[in-house]
Amino acid sequence: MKFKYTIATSLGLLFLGLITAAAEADRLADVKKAGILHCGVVPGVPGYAFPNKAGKMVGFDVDLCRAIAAAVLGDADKIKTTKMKLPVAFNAMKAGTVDVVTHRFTWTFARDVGLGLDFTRVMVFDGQGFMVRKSLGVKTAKELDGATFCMSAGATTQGNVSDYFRKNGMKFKQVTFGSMGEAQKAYDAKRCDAFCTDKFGLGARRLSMTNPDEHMILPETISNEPISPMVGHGDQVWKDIVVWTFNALIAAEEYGITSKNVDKVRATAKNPFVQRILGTTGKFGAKIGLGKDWAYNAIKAVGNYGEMWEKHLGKDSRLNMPRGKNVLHTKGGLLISPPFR
Amino acid sequence: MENLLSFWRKGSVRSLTYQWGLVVVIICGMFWVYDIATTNMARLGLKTGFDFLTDEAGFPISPALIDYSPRSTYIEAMIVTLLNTIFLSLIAIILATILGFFIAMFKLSPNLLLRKFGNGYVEVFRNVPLLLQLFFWYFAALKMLPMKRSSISFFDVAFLNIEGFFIPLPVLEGGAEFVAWALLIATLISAIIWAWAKHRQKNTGQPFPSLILGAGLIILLPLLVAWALDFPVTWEVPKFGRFNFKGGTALEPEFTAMVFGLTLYNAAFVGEIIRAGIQSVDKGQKEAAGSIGFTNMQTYSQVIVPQAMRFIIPPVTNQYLSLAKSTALAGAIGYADFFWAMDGAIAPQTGQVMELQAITLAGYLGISLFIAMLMAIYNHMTRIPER
Repeated sequence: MKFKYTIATSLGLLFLGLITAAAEADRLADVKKAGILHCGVVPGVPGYAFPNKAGKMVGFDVDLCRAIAAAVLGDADKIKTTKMKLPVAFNAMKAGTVDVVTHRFTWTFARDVGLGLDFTRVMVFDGQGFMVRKSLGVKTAKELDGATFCMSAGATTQGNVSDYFRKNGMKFKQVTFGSMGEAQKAYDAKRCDAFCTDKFGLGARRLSMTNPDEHMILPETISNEPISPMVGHGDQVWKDIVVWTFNALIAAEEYGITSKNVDKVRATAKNPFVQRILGTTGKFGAKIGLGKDWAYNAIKAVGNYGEMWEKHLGKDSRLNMPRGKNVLHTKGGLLISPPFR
Repeated sequence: MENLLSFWRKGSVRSLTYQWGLVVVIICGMFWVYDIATTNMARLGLKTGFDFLTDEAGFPISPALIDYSPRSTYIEAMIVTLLNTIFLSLIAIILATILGFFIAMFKLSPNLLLRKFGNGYVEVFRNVPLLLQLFFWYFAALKMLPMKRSSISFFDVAFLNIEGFFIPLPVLEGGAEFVAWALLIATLISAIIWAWAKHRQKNTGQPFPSLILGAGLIILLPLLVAWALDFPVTWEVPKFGRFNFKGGTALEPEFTAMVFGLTLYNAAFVGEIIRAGIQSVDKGQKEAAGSIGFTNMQTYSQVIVPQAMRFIIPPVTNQYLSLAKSTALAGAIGYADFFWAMDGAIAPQTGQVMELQAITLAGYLGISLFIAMLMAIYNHMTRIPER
């Protein structure tokens, strides 16, 4: 019996075993050697990662990837994006076939400790919400007792809806699809009364409905969804690089550094924090194995956090979503960068 | 030395050495892979084990053939979805066989129109990817079905709209068990009559209408008992609630689209297998049967089909296995099958990918072996006994 189990398990482990064997970690050296950064992104959500008219992937998530490429390789365009559904992204991360996943994944306990990957830092504070047709005449989620929901499998979505309805003593039906795209199409075809996912995702999805004006997003936010990019577990140097690149984008907003004024600021700045970020004093870049221009390059390429938001998700985009809690701590939001000291 | 060489030249010694050598190499290879994998998993900090199976699943499954709620455990979720997969496979196998039979008849028909239709059907359905066909049927169905507020009503007891076909659910009352007993007894008696009739025909050549008698018995006896007990069943009729019909049971469009897609796709293959099987029987057999006064019906049922079966069963078993495995596409259009649960719902929640893959493999292997076993039994029963 024990022997049979061993054989069965070894067969099952064959795939993972072989691929991980080849991926011994010095991610920074690997990326530098390859001269290209491999990113896993969500398969097609406007604002986050979506092909533009020229067929190039653009969006908030893509810019996070570009920022890392700029910091590490000095060129934001040296990226290769791979569209990944959820379980695939986890496996790719484990197997090390991508360097970073900037997919919209919620940071949860089970994923963090059980999947052989590390979350870096929360880049979007989101929460799950519901979209319904205006014609349904529903004003709050409390009126959805008995409704049918379209959603995608495996995300935190399923559990959240289930918990919310159980808590409120309401019943619901769900149709769960292998991918978010099919779930959205089915809702669009009126298979379900409501469609649910993270609210900032809902705003984006609404725009790709047949008739966006027919739909509305209900006021309730039923969960906490801290969205964080991920790297593989066990390579602390690489994780530091990714985390501090993101920190630099947030700090840049705090100190008023933008993609447009970054050259001027670097030449004239008196603030020692700004000087350290932009590499005019200190050796912060060298300490994480990068050049002294690492953060300068990242900010120059994609702008600070606020610029990225407005360009892809906010005022300058079709989505026009308010930033919610995603504003600096100095303005009552949740965004804060640990000090560059 | 000479002795050793001649010992080695003995065929049995050599083949045994090679065979055992291969076994040793395979086992060593497995242990090598197992060692690499466990080392790497330990390095990544991955936990292994099956403890998670008794944790709460936390997600609902619809449809569920047995009791299930989000509070049920992962293992219950697996069983529910495995049953969904088996149920879907069974229905699709039965329907694909029936439809495939007709396609074969069309293709063999002397009628030009039917023959061309059969040819066209086979070429269209077997040459378009199944996943594409599933999407087509699903979204076509959603486009065609009426909205909830304008449901089509069938005599105010059954309703059809975009969320499915809502039908009344029988609620059994006291006395219903007698009807079940009547059904069981009728089936037993029919089986005995059938065995007796077969025995008699073998000995005396006298036919006996055991099939018609048996069918009549199986239908009439339970009905009679039910009538005597004043029909101990009430019907729970669907009623329109806030959003949709409640009560009764519903045939959801996801399931229907799966059945449609699988049936139409596989019927093309099954049809070709049956056609080839029938054509494999020498036409002299048909002529011989005719010459001793067999009717067309008798020729087919007694002469052609029993011989064609020998040819049909092995490839049709392959087709059934392929059908059962292709149910794993169901998650794409929202039907909660086994693969949907394992790969789509449970794996991302627990992260126990290796364990889940092992269970998934075992699940599909089990279903496939079961189908193969049934077909092997059937093959054994219908074989032409030879010395």
